[in-house]
Amino acid sequence: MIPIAPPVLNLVQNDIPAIVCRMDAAQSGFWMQHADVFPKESTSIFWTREAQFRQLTESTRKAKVFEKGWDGYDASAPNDESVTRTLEVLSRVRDSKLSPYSVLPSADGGVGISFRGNANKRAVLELLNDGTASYMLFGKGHPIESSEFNSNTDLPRILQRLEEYL
Amino acid sequence: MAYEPQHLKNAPIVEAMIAFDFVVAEGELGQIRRSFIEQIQVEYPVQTPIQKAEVTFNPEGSTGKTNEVGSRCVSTGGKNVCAISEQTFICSRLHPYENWESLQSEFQRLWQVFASFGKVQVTKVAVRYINKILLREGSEIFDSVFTYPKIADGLPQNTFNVFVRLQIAIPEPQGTLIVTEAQLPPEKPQFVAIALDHDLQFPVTEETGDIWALLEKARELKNQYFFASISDELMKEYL
Repeated sequence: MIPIAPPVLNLVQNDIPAIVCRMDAAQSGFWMQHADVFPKESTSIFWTREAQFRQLTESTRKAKVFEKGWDGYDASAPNDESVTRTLEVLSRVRDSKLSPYSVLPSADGGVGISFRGNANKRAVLELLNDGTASYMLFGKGHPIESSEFNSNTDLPRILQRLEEYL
Repeated sequence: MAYEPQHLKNAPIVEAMIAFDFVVAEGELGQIRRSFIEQIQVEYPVQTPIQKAEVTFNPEGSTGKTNEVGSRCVSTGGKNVCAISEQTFICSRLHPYENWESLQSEFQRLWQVFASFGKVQVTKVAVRYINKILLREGSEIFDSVFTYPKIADGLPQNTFNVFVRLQIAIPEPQGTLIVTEAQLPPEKPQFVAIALDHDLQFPVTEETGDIWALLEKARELKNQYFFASISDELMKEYL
């Protein structure tokens, strides 16, 4: 009997092949010598996307380690609430057509998810420490569009807007 | 394998792929690829280069370079992807999967366009289906999925992070089945998500004959292997 464990709350408990293998190989002399047994690269869109979201989730969790003033000015460190909400938003983005470019702490205190599209189009979602959320669409030669939104109720609409724009 | 439906209406497929490995005369691939992606640009408008980074570490420091080794072309709507790398031509269909016929005909159509730009020799035929299976938390894995690690009785039994990769010889036609299974991030309360990935690869030799007949055989085997891998009860959920 192998009971299936309950799902974990955060997204990063689950590794995808390439990352697991590279980490193991890097830490073990034995596996360094036998690195050819590992899959080299994934040709699958599915696995590539899983790997990408795993890395973004790792980045989100690591955002907690920033300290106040991390930007050389007076930016607040991301708090637990903004990190948790960013993880929730990432899991919704994972089901959309969007591919985030990076996750970074926000200078306004919180976490930002950035996107890059065609023709220099860019987008950012910010989940701030005070519970507010906002999005911004911008890029060279493109008008800026930005607004606050409710991340509990408005997210599907905002993600659709990002898909259209990018 | 108690029963084998022809088509699962709600198949758990998240990505279906058909691929050919190929060789071309040295120095010709770049031009063939450029001509091909230009030809399909209207139907596959999102075209991005596939880049390969090489980093060399040594005691004196590190060096690195990035080379463009292929192109990835995404259809309008984003559900079909055609990727050409140094030696592989792939067509992917993402969720929602339609059926084999539509994937196979699109692959064949695009391959014929690609092959029309130069002398291209197929060296391998591959079919790969990736399924996402949701199992109720706390259920017995072997009641649903039959290829999975068995943990020795003396070990704790609660797994929370699973990755399995098996390479299995296919006897006839000779080939390789690569089975990859991994536990995925949770996405539905009370359920655990598992990826079941079957990659069937068949080298093309002088004895192979018609590669499209080999592809059909690959299709039969991928169905057979999938139906043999899950329980009838789980399969009923996809009918």
